Amino acid sequence: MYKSVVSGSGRVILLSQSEQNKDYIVVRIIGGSILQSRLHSMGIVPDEILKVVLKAGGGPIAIAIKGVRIALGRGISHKIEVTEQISK
Amino acid sequence: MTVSIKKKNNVSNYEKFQDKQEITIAIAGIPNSGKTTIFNNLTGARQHVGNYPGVTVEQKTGELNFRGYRIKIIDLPGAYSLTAYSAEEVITRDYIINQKPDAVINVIDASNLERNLYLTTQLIEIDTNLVIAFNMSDILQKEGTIIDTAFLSRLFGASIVNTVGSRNTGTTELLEIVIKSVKDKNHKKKVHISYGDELENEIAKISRYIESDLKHLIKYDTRWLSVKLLEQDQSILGELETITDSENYKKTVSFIENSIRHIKNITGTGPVTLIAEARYGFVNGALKESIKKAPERKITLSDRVDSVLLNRYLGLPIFAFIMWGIFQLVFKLGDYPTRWLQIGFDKLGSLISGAMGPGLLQSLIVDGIIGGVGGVLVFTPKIMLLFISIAVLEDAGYMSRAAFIMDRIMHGIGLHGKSFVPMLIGFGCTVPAYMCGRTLENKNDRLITMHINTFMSCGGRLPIYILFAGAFFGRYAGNVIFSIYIIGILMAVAFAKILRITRFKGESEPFVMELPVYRLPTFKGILMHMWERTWLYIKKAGTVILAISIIVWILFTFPQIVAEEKQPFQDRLALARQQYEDSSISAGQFSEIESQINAEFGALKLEKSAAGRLGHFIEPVFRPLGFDWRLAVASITGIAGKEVVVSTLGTIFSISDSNSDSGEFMGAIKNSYSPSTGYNFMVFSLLYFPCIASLAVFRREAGTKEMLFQALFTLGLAWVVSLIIYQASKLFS
Repeated sequence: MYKSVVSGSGRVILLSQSEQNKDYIVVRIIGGSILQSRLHSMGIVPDEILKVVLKAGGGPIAIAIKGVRIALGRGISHKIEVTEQISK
Repeated sequence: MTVSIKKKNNVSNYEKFQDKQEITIAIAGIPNSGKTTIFNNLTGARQHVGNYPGVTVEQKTGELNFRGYRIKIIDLPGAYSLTAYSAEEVITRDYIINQKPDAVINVIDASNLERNLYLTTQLIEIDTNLVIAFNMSDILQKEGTIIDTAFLSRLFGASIVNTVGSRNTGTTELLEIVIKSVKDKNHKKKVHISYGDELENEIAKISRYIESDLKHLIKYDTRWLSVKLLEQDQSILGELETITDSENYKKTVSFIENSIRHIKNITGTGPVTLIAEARYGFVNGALKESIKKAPERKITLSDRVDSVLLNRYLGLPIFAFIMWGIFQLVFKLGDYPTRWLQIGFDKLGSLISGAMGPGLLQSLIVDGIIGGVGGVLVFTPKIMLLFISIAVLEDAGYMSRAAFIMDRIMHGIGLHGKSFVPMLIGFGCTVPAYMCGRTLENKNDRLITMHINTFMSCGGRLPIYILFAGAFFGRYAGNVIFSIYIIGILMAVAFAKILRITRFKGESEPFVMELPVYRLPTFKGILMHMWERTWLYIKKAGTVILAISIIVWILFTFPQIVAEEKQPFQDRLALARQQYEDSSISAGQFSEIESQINAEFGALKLEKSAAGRLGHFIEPVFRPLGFDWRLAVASITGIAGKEVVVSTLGTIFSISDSNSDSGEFMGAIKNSYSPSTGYNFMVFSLLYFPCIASLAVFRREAGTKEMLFQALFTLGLAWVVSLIIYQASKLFS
């Protein structure tokens, strides 16, 4: 169903299911072209490594990607598929 | 090489004689790139802030003379990309394409090249004369990063200038390079980004289709248009729909959908993502080849600060403390200059009164204009302090953290995290709160936030609560006033939901926000930020409020009392003076009698005036709420500003100024109304729109239609709620 992902663990989860302080690789963004291009312009593109910097319960989460911190609302973290990065 | 500058269409004779040539430069960049600092450095204080037509995005322009050229500079809004996601992005794109500035300066935060250059990849696709400002280049030097800017410049087809905005270095050089590029007609070779075979095939197909079927649309570059269509750019599609017939439009859309499907079938990914990946690929390729030495980035100070400020347990209390601090600053510290201004205006008034002697013109100037405009201008220090606080939080990078912290709570009521700040400011004054609504990009979010902001009880309403709660509830007054604030908040929450499911349908804007690196705000930046917003407020006082003050004064002054009606008061005054001269009453007694007579005279004047008659006339509307004509008049004058309700009631109940703070006023209120009517009037005052100034701002921010909705909706709500309260209280008593 999903495309093969480089250096990921293979198990695809939603960003909303991620854990704090772990690194993930972006698989894809589910959603329309508007949301996609918005997230792309903020640096969230497939195969990019992101780190979940802050995650507090059901609220928004903060990620680090391409050298910046980005806050994402819960609605959006449901629409980003990621896979855990295998630790080197 | 011949010097040839593209002249603007209308060059006046004056300009020809001056031999000064005009150049227009636009500044583009992503948010937090330091774009505004560069703009400020270039233009200094010679700025003009306006709005782009139809949207609440600020348009800043500035002018300067440099090497014999008159240069106009436009600060385009910050945009991450040139898609049609937000108003800012569309404005930036349309400006460059349609207005064709002589040069575009792309300001880049050199400490994060990859993300900043993503916008650049889209700017170079537009046919424009691009100059890149490598801002904050000192950070790179400090880190020991070495970049081959000459090479990078060749790859992007644009000159690169190193700048440090915060220290104002590189500004002159930047101007020199821009002038040179304009002089040389230096449109370096346009760079095409290759999007890979699959996409390029479809781009070629669409280009051919455009050339043959959409010739009349060719104001855009064909390749650029093809890429935009593959991105399903909403703004371009909308434009297409208006300029072509529906059949042609449908044909085009299905042609493009075919291409998109084809790309998805081959690659498994949509064109939007592929295009973005290709752009990042171009940037990364360029950086890999031009960066010679890049040190490993460690956990920054900013991250450590965030681990405290955004901490699960500490984040909210710290935010609350900061907000409390701002409130103290604005409303406690700001009280002193406000009082000084008040004294100043009073002095000015009595000075003019003394110089002119009594008369209508004197009354117009002193009571109408100085009283009305001055009454608004006295808030200026508080507004300045508020805007300074906001500017500090914004420039330091805390504002987006505040939205992050509040997002969960605000999301619960269907609003955006950013809505919190304007709502909080609303407790102080609704005017700046409406203006703060600009920070919300999404139109629906912004309008809902503005509409419910009314229910955040502003400082102007507090005097009403103090009077009525004090009169009826004695030592429980504090709790009663608190309950009014709670009612306001509950109304705001309820109507956020109701408006969302009725008038402003659709999800609130997805919460995506950059958390910029914390920065020490610059003094100059904060002052400029504060001043441009404060100036809008002052300007309003000079125009809208001036006009309204005059109208209110006319309503209260005309028709005037005839001489026979005046006579009894003059007789009584003469009698009292006689008694005082005969020493049968003391000086204190005399002045007491004198002010009592004046107060009664004032009450009569009011009753005879248009405002008083209006009160009697509309009393039937207020009857079902349990309000008499006096409360009706007070509510009408409250339109000018809620503080005025109390002073009007003072006039009506013939309370002389010297006694207005004493228990006498409260006593008069207590004797005239029941406690439930008192409470009801407080609720009524809470719910209808705060003041005419706020409506004027509402109109400017959201248009006439929304302003009228706000006025009618809050009036209607106030009336209905008060009706329910009064009828219920009759039932239970």
